[in-house]
Amino acid sequence: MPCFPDYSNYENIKIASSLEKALLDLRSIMGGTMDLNIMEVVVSGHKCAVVSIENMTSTDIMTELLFQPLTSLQLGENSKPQDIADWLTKYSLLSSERHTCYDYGEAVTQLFSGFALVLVNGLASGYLFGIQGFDKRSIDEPTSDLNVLGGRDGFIEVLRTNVSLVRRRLKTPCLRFELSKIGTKSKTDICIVYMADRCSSELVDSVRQRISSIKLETVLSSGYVMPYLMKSSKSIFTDVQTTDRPDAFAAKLCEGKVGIIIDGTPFTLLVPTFFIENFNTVDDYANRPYYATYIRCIKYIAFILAVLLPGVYVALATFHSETFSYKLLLSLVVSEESTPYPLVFDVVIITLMYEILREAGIRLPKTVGGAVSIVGGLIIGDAAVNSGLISAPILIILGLTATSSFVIPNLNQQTSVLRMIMIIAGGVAGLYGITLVSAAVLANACALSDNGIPYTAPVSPFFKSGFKDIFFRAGFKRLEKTQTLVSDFKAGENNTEEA
Amino acid sequence: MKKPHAISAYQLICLLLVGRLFIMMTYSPAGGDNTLITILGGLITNAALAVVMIFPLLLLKKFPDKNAVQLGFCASKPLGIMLSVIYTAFLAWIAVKTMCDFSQFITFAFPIFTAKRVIVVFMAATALYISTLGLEPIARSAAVVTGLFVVMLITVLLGTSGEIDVHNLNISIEDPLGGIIKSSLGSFARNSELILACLLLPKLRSKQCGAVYSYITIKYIVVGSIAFLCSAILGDFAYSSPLPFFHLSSYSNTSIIARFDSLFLILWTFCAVTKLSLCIYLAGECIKCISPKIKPFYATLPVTAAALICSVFIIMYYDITKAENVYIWSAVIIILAAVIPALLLILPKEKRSRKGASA
Repeated sequence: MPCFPDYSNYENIKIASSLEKALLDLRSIMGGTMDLNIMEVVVSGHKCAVVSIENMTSTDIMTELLFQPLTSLQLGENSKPQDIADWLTKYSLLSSERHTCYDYGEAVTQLFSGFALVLVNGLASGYLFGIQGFDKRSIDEPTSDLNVLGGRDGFIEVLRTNVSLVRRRLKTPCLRFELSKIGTKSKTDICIVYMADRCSSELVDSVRQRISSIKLETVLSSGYVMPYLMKSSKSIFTDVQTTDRPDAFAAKLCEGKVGIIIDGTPFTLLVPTFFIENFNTVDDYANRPYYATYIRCIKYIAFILAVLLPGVYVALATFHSETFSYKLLLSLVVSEESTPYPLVFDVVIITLMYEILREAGIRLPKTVGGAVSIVGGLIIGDAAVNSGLISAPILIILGLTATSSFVIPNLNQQTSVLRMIMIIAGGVAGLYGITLVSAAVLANACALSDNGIPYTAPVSPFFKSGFKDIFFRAGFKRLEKTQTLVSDFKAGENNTEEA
Repeated sequence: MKKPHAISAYQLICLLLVGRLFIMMTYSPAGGDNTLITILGGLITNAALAVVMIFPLLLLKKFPDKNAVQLGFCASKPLGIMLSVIYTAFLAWIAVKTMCDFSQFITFAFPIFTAKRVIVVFMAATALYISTLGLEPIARSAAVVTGLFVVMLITVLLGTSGEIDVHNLNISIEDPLGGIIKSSLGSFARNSELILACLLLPKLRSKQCGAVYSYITIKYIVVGSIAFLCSAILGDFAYSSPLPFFHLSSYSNTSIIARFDSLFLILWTFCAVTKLSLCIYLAGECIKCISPKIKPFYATLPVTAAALICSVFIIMYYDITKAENVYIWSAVIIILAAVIPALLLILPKEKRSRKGASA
């Protein structure tokens, strides 16, 4: 193993004017890594080197845009090294992205981002050309938030491609992209996106501050950034929305939100967000307004069922059986009397089983995932009822609950945990317990706000305009008359609409 | 000027209304009440409340951003501490009464709940958590609870729609004057939430005067309407049994739901927790006036603990209904809502302004 000098603080070291020294420095900084490519060449009588990282650059583009022009360059006998630099920076268009760097920090970072570095003997600077050519996934249909009538393209792992997907949808100079890097080791590219005419500067500044506060070593997915964007870490809910759909992302930017695109993940982030938005999809705007409103109402009911149904069933059957009609009560008694365990225990066990099977179905390959559903849903469920371990109504309740939870995938984490808490609360203290937990959850959601924009708007605080598009779905002819922005929902004394 | 953690007039009305709804739900009528007496008595009560509220509103007109406790501190520290202790004690007592009333009536209405002490412990823990979140979450929750109340009231009414009969209204009065005075006095004593309003008004973003009088009007309409409905559906039973509003929901039924008691319980609990959270929050704010650096949790914790211990003690050894002396309660409301603000108005203006500026 070769021993190199300590270059742990290489970021601020200036590039050496001697090509040999500069190359030695680069090799030392990178510890002789095998993917460092150095091509030394003489251009117009001056020693030069083209440095790149293997597979991060496109060999074809490098050959066509860099090697051929450089090797055929003739500047005359009396040329100086500075003439090559001038040619590279002033008289040629070798690549669409071009920077001059003076320290190893920038040089190394850009090399790892797919740039090629040209060094000229006698010059204490390097010339970077963007000729990225690393392998990437092609633009594909999004894996989450599937729709029937909307666009089919989704974000991918490459930030630049994602930026272009957004730009294609919003061809306005008001759309701004601010690129920066986070992660002391990963140096992940992160891009703040906003519409300058729609988004308040206060909100953009706040997002900038929160991103600059990230001191992590590595940032590998949106989950690393999300906690820093959330205003409250103690909340059950999150005021940061994720999406891998460029159309949804662009639509939210037009509402005055700030988007964050992170290199290496197809999931982008949006702040701030409202609780109600978890029930909206892109398809809502492709369907007729009355149908979209109807579907949204179905989703609200599905959320309530997904969280409360098993808990309320346990509470009613255990503590408040007078609520049931006589016939229903009789059939429940008949089915429950054959089971050996208390109702709350049965429901907890069957809910746990469902969560286990669901988790297994997600992690397993798709072909095996189906088999898990069959084993769990049909075989275990049927056998449990037939053997008298659990009653049939519990299976019906669980089936309805599970199906309801699939309707709102964005709130999957919250519904899973809250459902279990509600079952226990219902089993311990009936509807009283469930209401206490609900009150705490309601207050928890109400406490969430980002830059004065409440998470529970437009319901509480109530905003009339929010009901047109967020709670219900008005037609485009009505929507075009009044553009609603997220800043309109800011709870404050200047907001005349807030009730 | 921006007010931190401010609430809107609508939210204030919802907060106060939820507190009042809780009292109404646990209200047991006096022997001689009937619909007409209740409605007329309520009219007099609300007129009196409107007069009482003139003093805190006048005080707020001069000092829009300060409540009585804060103004007391501006005048002198001992006065501030004294007012802080008085208001904290009052709020703690309201918290105790809320918990005791709730446990008393839940065990009456739902015999399956026997562990009164456990009920108040759960409730206190939930309210403590909510109060530490701040005023805005409580106010937003109150707005949702108010909406829920409207939905549930409509549901209950749908279940009893066929039973409404104006012939059930008993409007004969044996002693009109005595009955109305007795009813209005009792009704006045049930308006302790106006003290909460006095403490909340400086946190209001919009016009305070309009909010207070809107609340008094809305409250009168809501309470009057429910009293009317209870009488029209239940007849004399509404005034001869405890918890008439509860009986209205237990009487209500549809082909799907046999009884609406459970809906009543949900609403009851929501209102109780919201009111309790507000009391604890405001008590914590009063404590913070004494020690501004204290964190919200540590300001509210002693109040919650004291209220909880007191509630458990009362539940075990005492009947809370015996503490409901209308004269004492009326006097307390007048002192805290009118007399103290009036006295603060009389204090030399220079003193308050100077100290207020330095504060």
